[in-house]
Amino acid sequence: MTLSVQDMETQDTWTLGGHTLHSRFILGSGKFSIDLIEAVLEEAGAEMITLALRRAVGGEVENILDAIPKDTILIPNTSGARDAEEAVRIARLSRATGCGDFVKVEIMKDSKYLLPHNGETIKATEILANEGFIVLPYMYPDLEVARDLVNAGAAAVMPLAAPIGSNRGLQTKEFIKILVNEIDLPIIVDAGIGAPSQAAEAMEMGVAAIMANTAVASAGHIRGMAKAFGLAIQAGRLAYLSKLGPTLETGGTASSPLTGFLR
Amino acid sequence: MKVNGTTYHYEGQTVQEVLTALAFRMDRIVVEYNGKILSKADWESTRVSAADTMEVVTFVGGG
Repeated sequence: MTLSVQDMETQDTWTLGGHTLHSRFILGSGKFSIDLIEAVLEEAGAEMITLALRRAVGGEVENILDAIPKDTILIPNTSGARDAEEAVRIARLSRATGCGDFVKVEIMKDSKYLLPHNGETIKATEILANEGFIVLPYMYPDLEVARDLVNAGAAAVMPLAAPIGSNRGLQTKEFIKILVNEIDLPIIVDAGIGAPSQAAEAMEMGVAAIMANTAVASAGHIRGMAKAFGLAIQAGRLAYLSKLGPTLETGGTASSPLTGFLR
Repeated sequence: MKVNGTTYHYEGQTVQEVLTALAFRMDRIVVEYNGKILSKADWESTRVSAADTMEVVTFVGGG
């Protein structure tokens, strides 16, 4: 029996670190006002949000955690880490806040392109997975590295689409496709997605989820763009589940009958 | 002692007292004391000395 579209959508859940999720949009919380967070999460339909850990400032009254609804899953990142050791330190401090076991490992030595250091990322993933963290490693999309991350105990793999904050879209499309085909973990496209159409395109390829921050935070209307991304991610997912029709290499094929023409 | 890279003249006070004096949001911070995470339960019983280093961290927006 063919499922109704409504059933296709409501039955489409995925799991990450033991959590059953409906939304496939992970929102980054950087570069926009704390006051907007709740509204942006709601418009995006997001269940997960990333955070960064930094030195606290004495006397500062406002804190981002005050603005995030209690049922939102928090994913601290290890931004600022230049090697595995620093990432592990940041992850442990983050978990000590009581925010749960998730961590997005991001390790960069390069400050111009902000590309992740895959080798150090594998090391940190192994250490943290052994300590019970749900590790989401941000990585440059390389199949062998993804396999090493699987073996290291990652809960998902987060390949970049383009450099962080660049809004340049799916520059690594062919390599992310390889990960989708070969890796048995959720593939979450993270970094560089600049427009809802690019998020939809990635979802149509069969990735599990999209993470975006700058594309929303740098938009003219932040809440509007959050909603646009949410819709595009849903659309792309439904297109993937519905299976795209075949692409012709050359020529065309009529979509109207080829008989009964008026002559 | 050093707190988040800045030198302060504390000696003999408890970590709790130092954090209070510097007006941190107690419910939102994690303390790393001389390189190790210091749980909240130990803030009252740990006394600082001049050579100590403390990092006080919290969550901020990030992608």
